[in-house]
Amino acid sequence: MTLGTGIPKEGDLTGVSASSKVHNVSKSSYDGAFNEMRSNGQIRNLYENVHRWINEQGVGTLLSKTEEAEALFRRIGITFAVYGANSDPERLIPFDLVPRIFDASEWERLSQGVAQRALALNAFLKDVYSNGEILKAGIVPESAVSHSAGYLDLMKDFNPPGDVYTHIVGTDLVRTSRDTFLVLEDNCRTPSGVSYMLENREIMVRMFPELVAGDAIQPVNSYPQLLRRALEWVKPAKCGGRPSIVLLSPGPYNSAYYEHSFLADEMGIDVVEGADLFVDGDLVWMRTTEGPRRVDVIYRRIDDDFLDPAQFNPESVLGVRNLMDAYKAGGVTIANAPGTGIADNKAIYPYVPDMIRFYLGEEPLLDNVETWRCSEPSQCQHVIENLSDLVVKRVDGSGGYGMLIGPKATAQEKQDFVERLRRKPEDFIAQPTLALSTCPVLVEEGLAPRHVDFRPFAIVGDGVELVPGGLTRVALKDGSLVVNSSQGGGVKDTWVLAS
Amino acid sequence: MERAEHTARLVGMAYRMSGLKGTFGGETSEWHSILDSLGSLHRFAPSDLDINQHNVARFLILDTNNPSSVTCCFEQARQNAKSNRAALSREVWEVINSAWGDIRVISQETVFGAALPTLLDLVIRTVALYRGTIDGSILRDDRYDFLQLGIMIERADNVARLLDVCNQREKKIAQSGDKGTTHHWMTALHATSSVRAYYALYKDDVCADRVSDFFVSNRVNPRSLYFCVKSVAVHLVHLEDRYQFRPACLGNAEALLSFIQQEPGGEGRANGLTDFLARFVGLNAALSDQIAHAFGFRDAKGGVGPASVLEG
Repeated sequence: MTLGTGIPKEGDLTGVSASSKVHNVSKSSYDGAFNEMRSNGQIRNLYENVHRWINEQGVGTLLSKTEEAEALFRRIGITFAVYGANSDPERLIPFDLVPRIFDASEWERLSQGVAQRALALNAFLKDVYSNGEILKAGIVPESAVSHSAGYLDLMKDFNPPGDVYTHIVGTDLVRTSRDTFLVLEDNCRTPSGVSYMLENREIMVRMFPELVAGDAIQPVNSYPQLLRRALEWVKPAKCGGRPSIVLLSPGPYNSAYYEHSFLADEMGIDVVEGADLFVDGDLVWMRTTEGPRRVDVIYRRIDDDFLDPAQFNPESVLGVRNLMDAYKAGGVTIANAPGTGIADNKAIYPYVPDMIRFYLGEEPLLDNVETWRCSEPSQCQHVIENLSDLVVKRVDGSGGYGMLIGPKATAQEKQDFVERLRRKPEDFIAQPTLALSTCPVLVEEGLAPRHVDFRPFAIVGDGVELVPGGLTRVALKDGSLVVNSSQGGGVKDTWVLAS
Repeated sequence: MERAEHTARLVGMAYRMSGLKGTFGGETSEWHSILDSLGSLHRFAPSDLDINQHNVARFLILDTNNPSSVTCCFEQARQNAKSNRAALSREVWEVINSAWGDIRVISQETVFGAALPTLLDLVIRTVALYRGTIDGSILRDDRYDFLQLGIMIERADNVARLLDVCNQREKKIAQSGDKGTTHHWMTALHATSSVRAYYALYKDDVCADRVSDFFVSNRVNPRSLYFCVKSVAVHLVHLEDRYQFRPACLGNAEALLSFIQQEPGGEGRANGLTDFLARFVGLNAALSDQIAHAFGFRDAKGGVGPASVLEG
């Protein structure tokens, strides 16, 4: 049994999280977990080519190919910064060359479920910043919203262009059986990782053309174009022609900077830092050697708190002074919109299935992980009584910070957590441990199972679109529960086969 | 990248000259000269190490505490490229990134003895690849112009310093009364891979006047001061056309071109050349500042000129 801690949010690919203490468990931890490649001892049809190819190549060849792949990743510069003493300033996220594969019907279900969720979350954001119908209907309690650190008063009664709030949604999924996919969390602010999805495929195509050609794999390389189109579609009211788009980054020292520059390259837009932009009246301008150039859409990869020192953190040098004024005056679009953190708050997460029913009039296509809301006394009591079997998370946490993993916690840790739960129950939710599916990885001895999760990316503009793929993260340490890159997590190419 | 190449070429030149100890009067003087030429003597001196191939080559190529070493140049180029990724193609980025990755893992042993030329070739080839990918993949817009401005200003500075090393040698030889020696000029041609070009142009023996002409006022040598400054002027005209204003620095570039054409020759040329090169280096640096000022690099990026911002 193991549990998903989820893919962290922006910048947290490097984060050392509380949950990321190494939780090695015995090989029996894979018992009961769905094996993506094998079913009842047989290789599943969709893995047949890959399995045959692995046997033909042999472990020695594949291990040396892994080194070649790493050299390529280094040359391309797909590294992430690690802060702290004695660490390589530029580390690679380990790449495992055995792909993770979905068939067309699995993908159809997943993608429709993720798209449905993205629509509902956007509808919720529009509602919660306007009339609050879902609060009035008693479906989502007012306290869950008012308690959320992600709620921004500034967004009240403001409608962003096209009513799109979260333009890119990264939905973290886990699989617990052949037919069961569960949503672990939604990332509605600045989800990262899509560059790995794209570069992993590039490396596979380059290094293993015969393997890639053996299956009808659906391409993922249209992602930057889809994103660009969605960003153009949400151009602000004061933009008459084709909008000028920039990517706002904290700069080259940010751990996700590679992704920022990569996406900007692929979309043909500029990467800018806060100091490159300024607001004049209702409009935003970029300083260039030619003089100021108008900016219409900002794809921001910095957190709300740093966006505008006039409104948020006054110490921020990453943002742009008075940006929120220009935004609310219709002079610029910010994607994702400020204040979207309310939608991916863990106190809101349990209500997403109800949101789908309320806004879309549909049944959810993907289920949540069973979740106990500690803000409710009876549920909190259940959590305290069953702490050894549960994972307890902070509602405003991400990347695994401030979590308790019951089955692995010491008696003292559990006792400390009980006190915290009693003191501020509304800060926590709890979930059961889950048997995450496994996918084989290449190790010295051959193939070995490791736990995986999955993050597809939904792009919301004039509709919702997903490229057929996503980021599969894998806990490379034997028995480990954690897919964090800083704790031995790696990535895999994810294939979606054509029907 | 241009500076890294120049350093490698100068180290190669010293390696070659020190191999001719009988001709040049001992090993130390050549390594001393290139430290001086690169403006690195003051950084090397406190180490109290002997001035010889191993110590100087290691200092100039691999020493991460020497900000002008090839390793540090590659690192700085990579940092600049990272900050200006949108101005570069993926190919250019990968060359710069690989150069940085490769040199970081190079063994200190490679600066010993006969292993050194192989290392120098690697640096020179890497920079050639960088230049080639720029040529083949960068849009010919203002970013390309700025890139070329940085390259040409840096190259002009390097050529002037190279010539100065030769000219200092010329003066010493003149003092010793051995007027027939021209190995130092030949070495400069070797260091810049220009021997064939020299003979193709001058069809005559190597001599001080002709090599000076080749590196100073020749119109077709891509490593002459004239060629470099002319290129600067050409790219400034592109920017003038694009931005629809005449930057003041264009006048400075044209003035520098006129200055180059007044380079002294004939009798007393060695002393005149020393002064000329010193003045050229100062004017060229001033031109770099004027370009940075004209196009707002100092305002936008806090005091960094285009030669360092835009020259990967």
